[in-house]
Amino acid sequence: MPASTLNQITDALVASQNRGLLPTTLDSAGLKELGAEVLAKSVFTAHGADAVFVSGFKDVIDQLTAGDIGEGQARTALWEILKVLGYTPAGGFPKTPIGEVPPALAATLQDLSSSPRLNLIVKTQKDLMTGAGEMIRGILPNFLAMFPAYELVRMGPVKVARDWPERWLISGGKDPGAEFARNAYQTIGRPTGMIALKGDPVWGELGNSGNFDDALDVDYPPWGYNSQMWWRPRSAAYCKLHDITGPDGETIEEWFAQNPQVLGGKLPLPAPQVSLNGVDPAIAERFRQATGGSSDPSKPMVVNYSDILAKELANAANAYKK
Amino acid sequence: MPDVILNIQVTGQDAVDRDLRCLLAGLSDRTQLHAAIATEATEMTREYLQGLGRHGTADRLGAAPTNFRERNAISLQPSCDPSAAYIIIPRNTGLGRAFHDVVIVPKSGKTYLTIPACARTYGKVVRDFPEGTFKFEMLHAHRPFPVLKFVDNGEIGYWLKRKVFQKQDRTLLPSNDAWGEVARRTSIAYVNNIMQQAS
Repeated sequence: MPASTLNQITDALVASQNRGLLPTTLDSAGLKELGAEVLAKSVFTAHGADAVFVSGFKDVIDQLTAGDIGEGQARTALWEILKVLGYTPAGGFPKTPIGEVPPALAATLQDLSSSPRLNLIVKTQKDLMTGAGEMIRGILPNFLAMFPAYELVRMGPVKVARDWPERWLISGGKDPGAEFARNAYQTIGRPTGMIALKGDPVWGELGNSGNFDDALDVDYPPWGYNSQMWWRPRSAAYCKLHDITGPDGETIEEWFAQNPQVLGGKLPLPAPQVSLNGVDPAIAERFRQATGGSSDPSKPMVVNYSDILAKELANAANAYKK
Repeated sequence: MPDVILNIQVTGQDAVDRDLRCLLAGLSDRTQLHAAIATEATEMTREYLQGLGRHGTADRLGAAPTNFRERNAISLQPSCDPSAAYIIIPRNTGLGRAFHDVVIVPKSGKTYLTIPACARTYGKVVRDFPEGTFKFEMLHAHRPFPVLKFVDNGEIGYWLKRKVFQKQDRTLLPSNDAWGEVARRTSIAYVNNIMQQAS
């Protein structure tokens, strides 16, 4: 048998290692203001203001995603770092300027050293890095060719399930239709019919905090805090069976031909466009004019905001030059 | 016995030739086939772990299960190269026990492992409780047993062990036959796909 060329490093570790450090006094709401692009490339936690803590935090998460330590050991390691740095719920980190971080009640989620907070941090970080790793792997040419789509499925139990079919539709996903039971998402592993091609904007909208308060601003699972929803790779044959297309009815081949970044192993940024398929054409045209968007004559129902975005970026660049 | 040389000539088989050429082209680099097998096998293994439903310790202690194995199912990762399909199983899933005995010892300079002894402590570590919740005691039976007892009611919270031995348990993961069946089914689907594209 030929020697294996297998790289044993987990994709989750690759995703975790590729992040920088972001010590910050901001709370969760403030962090969201920074934008998804910054957060996706950074290691941070709300009110995690100490650079040494954030550095240790990254090391611990790297070890966790590499499979070298378990969740319990990760929690203990973080707690020990906090203890060494002199963190207290009431006073925060000793080096944090007074007043920057409000005092936290001990043993609550605001207390960085509490069990509930450490549990949330470790679990969310592990799931996020696993999801990011899956996305990296999913767009490698061999995996993309064999499995061009994902289906949203439940991977673990929760006490109260969020209404994922509703979120799916709000995010622009196609209605799975009567073939799939609406409550299928409540059962672990059961197909839900919520299927979309890799790179479809629906995956980003599911994790967009502009749409859902509990979203993590990522376009991969788990999309939201404490979510147990995941995605399952689906073959081209499965997509054809369920008539899966791109957001504007593109075939699988057309979708990937239009999105060479996906084929090249780099997901595109979500396109600044709105699809008005199914809307009265006259209303759609008025909407386009009112919002200053443009549209391609071959796709009159898709309003594109690339020009506005380009202008705003240029303005911002000029403002920085002054 | 002298060798017999046979010359076989197949004629009038253009369609078969074309199919064979497509098949050979499709199988000359098997990375894509292995990607398909690895993905399907990983998904099957995840389903297996989610359906395992073994919460013996939690049931015995009357505690809510931690769903440790179910939660770790997502950590499994498919991988492939031209020679084989792989499922990467991180060490911290505890699934290595499917292939060998496991000996767990305390790390980070600690003396004892804490083994939950009741529903209140199952799925929790000592640090999850306020300081002063437990007191150390040595129980004496045929040999001494160090334990941590709850201060409030004297209930044993944790058994303290210097080492824990876990015997190999192959049923933690699907059988080799089950994985083989996934590989066989996926290979057939892959070849059928090549033939469909050829026609």
